[in-house]
Amino acid sequence: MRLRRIRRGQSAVEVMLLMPVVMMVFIAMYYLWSVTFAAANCHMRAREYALHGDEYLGGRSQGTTGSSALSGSDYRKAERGLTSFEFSGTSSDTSIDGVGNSGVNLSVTAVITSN
Amino acid sequence: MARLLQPLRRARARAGQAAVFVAMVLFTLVIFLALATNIGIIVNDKIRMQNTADLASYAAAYSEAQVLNNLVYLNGIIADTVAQCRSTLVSSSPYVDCLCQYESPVAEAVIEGCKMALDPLIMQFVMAANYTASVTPALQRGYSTAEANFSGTRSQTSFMETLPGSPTFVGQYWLTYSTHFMGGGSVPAIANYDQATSIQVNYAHLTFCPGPNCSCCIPYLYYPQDSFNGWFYKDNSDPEIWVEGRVYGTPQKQFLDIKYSGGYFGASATGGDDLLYAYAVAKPYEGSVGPTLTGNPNATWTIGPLYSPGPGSLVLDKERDLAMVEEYRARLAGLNEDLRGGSAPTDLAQMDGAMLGKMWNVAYFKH
Repeated sequence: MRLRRIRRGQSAVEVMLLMPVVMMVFIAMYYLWSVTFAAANCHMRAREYALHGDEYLGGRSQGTTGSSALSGSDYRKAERGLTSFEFSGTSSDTSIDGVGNSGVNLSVTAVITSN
Repeated sequence: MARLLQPLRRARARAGQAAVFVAMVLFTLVIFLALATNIGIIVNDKIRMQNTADLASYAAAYSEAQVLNNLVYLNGIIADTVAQCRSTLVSSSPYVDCLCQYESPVAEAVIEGCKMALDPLIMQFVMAANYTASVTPALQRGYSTAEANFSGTRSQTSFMETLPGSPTFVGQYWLTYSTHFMGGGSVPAIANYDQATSIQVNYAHLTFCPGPNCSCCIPYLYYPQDSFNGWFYKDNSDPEIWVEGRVYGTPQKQFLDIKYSGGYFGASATGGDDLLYAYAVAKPYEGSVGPTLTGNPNATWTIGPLYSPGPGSLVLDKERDLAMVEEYRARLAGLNEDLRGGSAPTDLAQMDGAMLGKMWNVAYFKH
């Protein structure tokens, strides 16, 4: 009888001890997905800015700068001859804060260049 | 005694049961974590790869648009030279002399001078349109752009220049030309262009011949004519020029390949075996090197006057439709877009895949 009493609650204690580890795994998954999403978002926005500037992003190009291949509502007229050119978009994004407030700051540049 | 120990044995058998269960769950979660991360990396890399293909193709097409605008400019100089020659001949007509011959030596000298002036201009056009001076540097710029966007992809980028049927294949398009004194020939070029080789010029020649009572009193009015080799033209407004780019690469490792050194995220193009492929098409548009559309609102060229009244047999070679529009730009095109010239982009992708040991089902190509 006494032994049974001693063992009672052991599973609960084991689960409680392991729960933080499980939670850490979940948080890590969420955090990594956040980084991945931010990176993909950065790449797409940078590319769109290099090609279409604000025209495509509809004024929602927060954190994206550069010189676009689009001028007004049409692509730029190509300068005569093989002169050098560069169109680019640099986009930055921040993932959610990770453990210890360490959200990753991502910066991506998409470039169309003659060099 | 045995009966007394039974509960103790049962309790021992249950000890650590939850730990085993949780460990199994934990193991599964870690596997999911790795899988999720790996898929994230692959998705991210696929986006990077597609961006690289798009931007590299655009860079090549934009460079071709630059070449085409230069060709428009050079073609315009040829046309201007013809216009000046015609104007000179018309404004000086009638040429008057007492030589009693059909042609005026003065006017013929003007015509010869025009021919001599046109030849280097024609050669300049030919050299600018030559494959090695137009397509080759354009593709080099495409390679540079690929490398700038995704380090290591220069050697894994192709613009289908080795595939017959591709607009970038050397020898896919030819330019045949004629000069007046410098011969002619055919060269592989950025596109097929025809040359106007019977551009008419004429003038009026009033010459006096000897009569019974004079040495120079009987007038004769002639309308001598000649023809030039001159500008280049196409019979369609949308030239068969486009660039298909392919980039492939692979994440560095299959799992958890994440680094943040120097802003680097995801993968490199070397190592591993998760090969990712991306195709893209871009093309120059909106310009016109030579005569194309009737009634093109952008057509501004007039090619000088002909002397009138002249003989009615003069043929205006492609002049009525003349439009030289220095407005070439570049745009991304679809793999399934109906592009002129050579093979379809999806066919090229299929051929390219076969060379890489892949059997693409192009029905899935929606980009």
